[in-house]
Parts: sequence; C-alpha cells; structure tokens
Amino acid sequence: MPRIGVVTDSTADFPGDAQARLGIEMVPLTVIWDRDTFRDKLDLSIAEFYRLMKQRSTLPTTSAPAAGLFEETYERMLGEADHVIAVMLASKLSATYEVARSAAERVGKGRISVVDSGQTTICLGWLAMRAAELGTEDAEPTAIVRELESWVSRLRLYAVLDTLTNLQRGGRIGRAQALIGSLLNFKPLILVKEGDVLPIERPRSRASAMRRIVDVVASQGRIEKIGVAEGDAPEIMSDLVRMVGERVPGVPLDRGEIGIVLGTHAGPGVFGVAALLAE
Amino acid sequence: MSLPPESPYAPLEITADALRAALEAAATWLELQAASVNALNVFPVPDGDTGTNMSMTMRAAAEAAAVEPSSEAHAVARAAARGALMGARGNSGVILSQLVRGFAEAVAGHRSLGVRELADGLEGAAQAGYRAVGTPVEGTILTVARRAGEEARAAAGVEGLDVVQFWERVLRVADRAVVETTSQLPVLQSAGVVDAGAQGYRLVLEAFSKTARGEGIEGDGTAAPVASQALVAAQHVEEGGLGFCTEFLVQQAAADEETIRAFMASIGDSVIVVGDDDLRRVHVHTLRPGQALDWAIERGTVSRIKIENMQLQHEAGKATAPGSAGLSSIGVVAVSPGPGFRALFTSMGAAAIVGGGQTMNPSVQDILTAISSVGYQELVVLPNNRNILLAAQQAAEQTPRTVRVVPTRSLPSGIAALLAFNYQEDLDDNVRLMEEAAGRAASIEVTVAERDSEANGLRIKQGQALGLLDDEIVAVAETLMDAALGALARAEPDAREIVTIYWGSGTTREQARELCEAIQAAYGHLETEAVEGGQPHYPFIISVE
Repeated sequence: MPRIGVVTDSTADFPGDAQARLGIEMVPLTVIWDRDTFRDKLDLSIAEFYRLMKQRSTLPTTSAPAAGLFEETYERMLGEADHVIAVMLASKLSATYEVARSAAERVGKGRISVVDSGQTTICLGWLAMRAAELGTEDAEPTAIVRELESWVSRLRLYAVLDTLTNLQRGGRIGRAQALIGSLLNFKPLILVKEGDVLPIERPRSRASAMRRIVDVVASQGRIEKIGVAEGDAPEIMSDLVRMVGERVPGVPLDRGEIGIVLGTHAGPGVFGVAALLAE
Repeated sequence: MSLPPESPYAPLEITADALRAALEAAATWLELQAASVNALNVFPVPDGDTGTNMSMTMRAAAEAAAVEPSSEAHAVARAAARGALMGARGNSGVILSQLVRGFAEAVAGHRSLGVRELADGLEGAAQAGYRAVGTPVEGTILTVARRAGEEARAAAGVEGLDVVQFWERVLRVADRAVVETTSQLPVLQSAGVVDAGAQGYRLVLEAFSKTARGEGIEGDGTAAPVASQALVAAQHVEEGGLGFCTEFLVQQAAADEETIRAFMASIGDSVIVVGDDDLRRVHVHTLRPGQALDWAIERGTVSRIKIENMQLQHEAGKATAPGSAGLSSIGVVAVSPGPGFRALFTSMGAAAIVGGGQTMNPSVQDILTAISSVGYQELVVLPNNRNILLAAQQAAEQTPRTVRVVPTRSLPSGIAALLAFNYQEDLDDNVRLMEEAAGRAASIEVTVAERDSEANGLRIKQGQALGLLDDEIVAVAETLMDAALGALARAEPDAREIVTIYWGSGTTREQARELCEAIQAAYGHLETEAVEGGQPHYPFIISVE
C-alpha cells in the first residue's frame, strides 16, 4: 500500500491540533508590505497584522509561495512518502495552485497529485484532513483525488466582511463587485463556491449579518460538516457558534482563525461559516 | 584584439562579470517599471501583480549571480537560474524563472558568451518557457521569448556582429512582438493594453541591451503612470450609466494629488489619481467632463484625453448583461422622487427608476416603460408609496414578463427591500425576503405643519414640526429634531439596530449629523447613518430597522 503525504498552503485553517496530528505539511504564502515580507501563519498573528494595518498608510499585497519552496517540500516529502497529495487554495483566487502544479511537474515523476480546492480557510483544511485520513486508510492516490473532487463541489464558504475595499483592491472581488457602489453602508455577505466569489446579500448591521449568514447556511439542505472562522473578530464567536448550533443541530462544529494572507483580502473583522453539503 | 569600426567600444563577448551586471540591471529596471507593468493587468487577476512578481524573481536571480564566485559565465547563469527558481513569485515569475533556467542550460560550459551563445541562450529560454506552461498561449511572454530567440538565431549568423548590435536587433523584434500582443489576445484588445508578462520580458532584454551599451539604469520618468485597469473596470461595473468616464494625463500640474482628487470628487465620482508630481493620470466619472479638463488645463499640460459616454456603454452592456455574468437574473424597478433617492436606489443595483412619489404619482405606462427598458425577464417593482401600489400592480399584469410587486409604502421600506435582495435566490424567495425586510423597517417622516389642525388627539399649530411614524402623526414639537426623536421613541427603538437619516432638499448635512448625535446620545445601541435624500417637503425621512 502506498504511503501518502499531504501538503497544503497556509490559507488552510484547522480545528485544534488536526494539522499536527495528521502530519499535514504547510507551505506559506507571503504578505509583502512596503519593504517587509511576512510569511503567513509564521511571522505575524492576524491581530498584530490588523494593528499594523491601522498604523500604515499603504496596503499590503500577497504572493504565492516561491516555486522552489514547493520543489524543496515535495522532494523532502517524497523521501518518506510514495505519493504526495497537494491540495491548494482556489486557483481562481491565487497563483498558488499553478505554482504547486508546475513544481510538481518538475520534481514529481508522477508521484504528486495537485488538487484545486476551489476553497480556502476551514474548507481547505477539511480537504487536507480528508486526504490524510484516507492516506492512513491505505486508499490509492487516484481514489483520494476522486473523493476530494467530490468534496470540492459540495463545499461552501459563507463570509461577512466589514467592507469590500480589501477584496476589491486585491482583485479578488469576482462577481461580488455587483455589491459595490452603494451609497449606504452594509456588511457584505458573500459566498465562495468552487473558486468563485459570489454576492449574496447586504445586511445593514453586524447583528443582522450574523442572523442572515446562519439563515442562509441553514437553508442549504443536509449538512455533513460545519465550521466557523474569524479574523480578529473573537467577540462575535460565542454568539455565532451558539446560533449555528441552534439552526444546524447535530453536526460537530469546527473553529478556526484565519491568517494574514486571507486577512489582507478580507479586511478586518471578517467572519465566516463553512459547510460541506451532503451528497 | 581589433574592434569593428562601426561601434568602436562594443564588446564581442559577455564575461561572467558582464552577465552579473546585466542581471543586476534587469532586476533594477523591472523594479523601476513594476508599477506600470502591474497596471497592465486587464482584469482582476489572481496574484496579478505581474510587474512586482517578475521584479522580485529577477532580483533573486541577480542576487544569486552576485554571490556566485566563479569567473565563468555559465556558472553565473546557473546560479541565476537557481536563484530565480527559489525567488519565483506568481505565474509570471515562474515562467520568467524557467526562461532563465533555459538560458542557463543552453549556455552550459561557456566561460564567456558571444552572440552565438547568446542566441543559444535566448532560444533555450523560449523552449523552456513553452515547456513550463501547460497550454501555451500566444500574445504573452512566450511569444516575445520565441520571437526574440528566432531573431537572435538570425542575428548570430551575421558576420562580425558585436553584442551591442546583437541586442539592438533582438530588442527591436521584442518591441514589435510586445506591441502585437494587443491584437493577439481579445482581452488585451478590449482593454487596449499590451500583455504585462510580455512587457516584463522585454524590459529584461532592454536591460541587457543597455548594459552592453554601457548605459546605467535609472528611472527616467517617461513611463506614463496608468491607473490599474482592474480598478477602473471594477468601478465601471455597477455604474448607473450616468455621465462620462473621463481620463487624461496631466504633466507638471501646479496642484498636488490631494487637490486634484478633491476637485474631481467635487464634480463626479469614481475618482482615481495616480502618478507623481511630473505626470499624473486622472480618472473621474462626471456629468461635466469639460469642467474636469478646464480645471486641469489651467494647472498643467493635459494630454491623452479619453471621454466615454457611460450611459451608452451601460445600455450596450445591459442588453446582454442579465444572467450572463452568472449573477441574478432578476431586475428591480423602483419608483423614486428626486435625484437623491434615485442615486441611492441606483447605487444599490436597481435596474431602472421610475420618477415619482407622493405629489407626482407615475402612470401605469411610466412603470411599464421602465419594465420594458431593461433586459430582465423577471422583475420586482418597488412602488415605495401606497398611492402608487395599484399602478404598479396594473403594470405587472400588462406585460408578458414575470413581474412581482413588493408593496413598499415608503422610501425607507423600499430601500430596506432592495438591500434584502438576495443574488443567489429565485424570484419567489426574493419577493419573500424583500417583503419581510420592508415590513421590518419603520418609516419616520418629519415635516412642518402647513396649518392649524388636530390629529390623533394632538393639537397642531401652523409652523410646528410633525413626526409621522408609518404615515401617522405621532409627535408634535417646536423643532424638527424633537419631532424626529419623538417619533423614534414610538418606533420600538430598543428592538432596533440601525437608523438611517435621509436629509431633504431644504436641510443640511450638518443638521442630519446633529440628529445622528442626538439619537446616539439617547440610544447608545443604535447605529446611525445619514445620506442625502434630496426629497422636497420632508426635511428628514428616517428609516428604523
């Protein structure tokens, strides 16, 4: 039976110690800001990052990991594993997948499978966890990829932003740009689905945004997995967790905190609900 | 060694040191030009800062070359290739790193590089580039790499050609190839720009050429700053289609960036001002493009003027827009008096506005005309006044399109309904969501009594301020502010979250701000927002949600 190694990128978020427990490798994206370069999840916490954002007049940009970093990681992993599953941030949102794929072609010799998650944060973490679990169950790489692709089509990430500015400036606003231009303020409620950023609604207040995100998730039919994530908005978490638990009972709930790369594009105060819909 | 007479100082070969210098120059040149290359990104590209990515990749190559101790050119090239690979960022950086790698492999074993080796290198670079990309696309960096390689091969066959002449020939062809990318890719053609990666590679070749000529690399300020096409495109998407998209360059402006921006914002919106004191690019959407130009002409040298009528663009776009962008296929038609509320409804995505309101009820035909002016087959009509409800329902019955009326009785309830619109749901669900939102929003109108009267057990004297809650007089006071607060006290303020104040044509922003402060002082949990409604007769219209 093949030994499987799993690698993802730093925009994946994991509940508790799942990443360490399952031995999932992580390649960091970077945030470039003035003359500083910060590695996601390694160099700066999201709270420190948003504090810095209030001080600096410029906006940071993000960058996919260097191709060489992927090559090194793959080569190291292939020293122990027979096959590597690399599951990456949505290719429609980042060049990371493309860099990971081209690096795999150079060093993989057919022993690396790169999967476009169409997702990020908790959804991406779930995919990496699923790959690692299947690996320990002696699944063949092709079967693991097939299973992940089925999950990709059923994963939904709902998010409430404080503002669309960061998403727009970073060029990731996608079809949610339909929400731009309003003369009234609102807390944009958006959906990430198979790499597309889609507009949903325009709740006026944070409280109504919390109600609506939970309403919308609860109306998606049967849900297999559910999770919540936030970026420097810990104060809303207990309410959000309670509301999700009431509306989607009986599904264990995962929690995660996003890093500075997602923080750059989502802006301060973001929170989201991730769901894996039943087949 | 005898040098060819036509270029007395030109070298015939590139040594290890010369290669280090050329790589350093390429990195610096890309850094200087990064912003203008970034601006070529024509649509919101993932990790799309092509100029930044290519410059960081080249910088990594130059640094690796600089610390490579060998005095042989091929070893310096190999070090640069490794550096580029480790420093490669983004798609464009990865491709560039493969070009460097292809170059290095093709010149393996050569202590110094003559034109023949350089031709080998440029050909090898192109081949490696094509191999690196799953599906090669013409009109990109690959095309420029290939044509530079072909020209280099042809040039290498010319007897006695020195390195300077060699790079001149290659650069000339690369220039042409970059310009031609515009016509090779539809997305570039529609944006009228060249491919960013192609331009980046041309800059690398240019740096090599400059180094061969012994020229230093310095920012010469000739590159025109360009507003990010992505930013501009995003600004255009939700325009209501009023006015003109106006763009121009202004040289040596006797006004700083903030002053320019402030003036442009005073005559329009979607203002973008980029560049430096020598040269700025200005972008504004305005009903009066002449004012923008007159103002700028008085303050600097204006060039490259471009003015587009957005109304025409918008209408052209609307004919095919619904559904095609994967967005909602449902359009909303709102009835609205005056320019303030019209702009509000439009800014929130209403497809069409029917003029009218309390004192000017639109006809069934007016509403029908608005319905048929938009490309949607499914529509929601927001009458926003109870006197217009029936006309809206009549109109809904007289069109072959599927039209539902959400019975909004006031402007605040209409705005609440429009904001509750869900882009992913169908017509039935949207009608339900919009009705619920309209029902939740309480509407307060503040006006002045025109004569003495009595209503709801309240004695009213002419000139007193009246507060109406959902069309009923609930507060009488000496000031507008007290009437507003009195009505708000009756609107279950403890159960509310947000209060929006629309100030009317006879009221000032300052008055609205004072009212916001008074509301927050009385009800700390309420969020407040004030916007210009521009309505006649009612100094304040207030939405309580």
